Amino acid sequence: MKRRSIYANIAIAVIVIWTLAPLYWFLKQAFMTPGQIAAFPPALLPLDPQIGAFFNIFGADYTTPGGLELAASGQAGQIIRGLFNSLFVAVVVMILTILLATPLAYTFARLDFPHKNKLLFAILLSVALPPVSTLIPFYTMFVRLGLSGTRTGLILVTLTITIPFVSWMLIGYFRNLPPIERLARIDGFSRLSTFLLIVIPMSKGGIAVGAIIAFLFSWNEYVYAQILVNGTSATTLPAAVSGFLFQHPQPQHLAAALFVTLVPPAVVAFFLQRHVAEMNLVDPVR
Amino acid sequence: MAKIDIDKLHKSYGAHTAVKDLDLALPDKELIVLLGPSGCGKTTTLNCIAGLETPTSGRILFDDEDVTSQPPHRRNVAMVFQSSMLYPHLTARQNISVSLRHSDLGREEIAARVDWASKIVNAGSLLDKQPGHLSGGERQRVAMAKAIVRQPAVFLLDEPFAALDAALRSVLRAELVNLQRQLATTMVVVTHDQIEAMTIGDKIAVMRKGNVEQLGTPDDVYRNPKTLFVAGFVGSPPMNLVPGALQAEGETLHFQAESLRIPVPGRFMNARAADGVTYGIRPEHLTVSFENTPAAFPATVFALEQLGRESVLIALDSRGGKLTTVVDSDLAVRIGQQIWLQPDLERCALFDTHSEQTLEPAL
Repeated sequence: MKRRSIYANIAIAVIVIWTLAPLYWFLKQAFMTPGQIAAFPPALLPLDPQIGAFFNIFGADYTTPGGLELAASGQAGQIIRGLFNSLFVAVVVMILTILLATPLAYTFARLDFPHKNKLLFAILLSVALPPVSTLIPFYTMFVRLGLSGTRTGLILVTLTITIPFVSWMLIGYFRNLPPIERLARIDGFSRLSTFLLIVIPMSKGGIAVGAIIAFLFSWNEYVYAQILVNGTSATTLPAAVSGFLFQHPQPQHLAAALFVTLVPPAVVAFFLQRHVAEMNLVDPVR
Repeated sequence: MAKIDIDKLHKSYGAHTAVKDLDLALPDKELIVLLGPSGCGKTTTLNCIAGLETPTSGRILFDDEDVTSQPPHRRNVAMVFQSSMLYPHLTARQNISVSLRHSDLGREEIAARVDWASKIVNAGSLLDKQPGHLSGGERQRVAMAKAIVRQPAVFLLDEPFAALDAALRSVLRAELVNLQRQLATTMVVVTHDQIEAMTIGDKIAVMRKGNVEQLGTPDDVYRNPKTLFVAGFVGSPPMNLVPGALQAEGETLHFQAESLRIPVPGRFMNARAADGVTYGIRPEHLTVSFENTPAAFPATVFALEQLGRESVLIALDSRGGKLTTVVDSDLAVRIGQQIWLQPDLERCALFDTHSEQTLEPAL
């Protein structure tokens, strides 16, 4: 391996600290009691770490080995429901996005049809639109349709963003495939079986990345969730976590809830990072 | 086994014409090379033979049967693509057996055929690997096995060796020729590499701008190029081509280009060219000497490229035009030195500069 210069190492260290220090500073509070958090000067390391907050946010009281009683969080119901809803919405969004975006992207990348470039541009536009701009229209529409406060509504809204975005990304991926359709035609595959039996299996990497992106987008989505579903039984984790801001301050609960929020994306990213590295994100407009 | 007839093939993409009114008869059991620069329509022609492209007009016949409207897998063709494309997610064995998915062979027969095909090209040990784990040469073998396994009537290869290094290319060329003899099948190979075309082809079809300029054996194409384009494209280093005019003086004939004057054999006495003549001479038919001889003309050394076994000498003639000759590698000359070039008079080729056709009298 090539040796890095001292300057490069310093630069890397600065970036890592810059990025991770605030996160660490906050997340360490998940392992502290309210008393430890309030202490001055604040401790750099959570000496005598406690896991009480993690019990509290899921609705259980906890007594530390030192005999300190930590009461369950009042937000516990919302957190548990939010965790379940977030997983449900993210998985459904991920599956629907891939089911729809894969054939869409393949069609745009590898087939020719009239008005292709105009339609491609329409996809780009819907990616470029800031989500906030459609928030109010969606809200009024969903109230009339009875979709506000439902997971169905949230899934629909999220799909309007993930489908164009993942399609855009997969178009670039499919364009970079070798002209494998020719080989498939010599072997007598129909168009459909070429797509299903050849293109999809050989594009597993790109499709997996698209799936992660859809999952993470849905998992992290806050603005729509806050307006459309917060405070209802369809609330998601980011919206539920924000509830901590509006009540008696319990920083250790907020930190613990955030910790839980980080786990699924971290797991997903860990298992699929190889594909992410291979992914070739090319601009599909030539 | 099939002979292929291409009848008035025409293929255009919008305003761009890739192949125009191409007639070509490819005899059975021969290895035919479609040779030409990029954009000459050779790959389009191959794709039309394969059935991957539908001709705009014209017909493709296999053994006198019109196959123009048949899809590729019905035509009993096998194709090896550029850089030996394989399905990357399948093992070599799966890649080869996919070729038989439309056959009515049983599972065991298919396995036996795959083994048979892979043995022919020495790919037996590669069967359980995925294409990503094979080297360029190994992929080429698997792609060949995939083609052979179908026992096709026609083999089509599109720049099969383009992505390989020179040493491997020459090994695989020899194997390809040997394989073609073993299987006694019609094989059509597309290449832009004229050395490759010369070494493997029974026949070479030199293509340019969507049409065939000349079809013939490598020897024929090399010795008797029908057009200026063929003369300049086939051969390395290429033929020297000098535009000028013919001048008859009684019984003798001369080629004249400014101050350059070369005697021309009597067989061209009746040759008529409307608008000037181009004189062609292969580098190996120009001899370097240090003294004036009859029919030699003076030149100065411009550059000497040593190739080991021989050297390529580039000389400037009295007009200042560059002429290439092949000389012994131990020839000692310095740049700027005065030399004489003696052409092998009988081996010259003459072309009508305007129509680009040969002036060689028909035999």
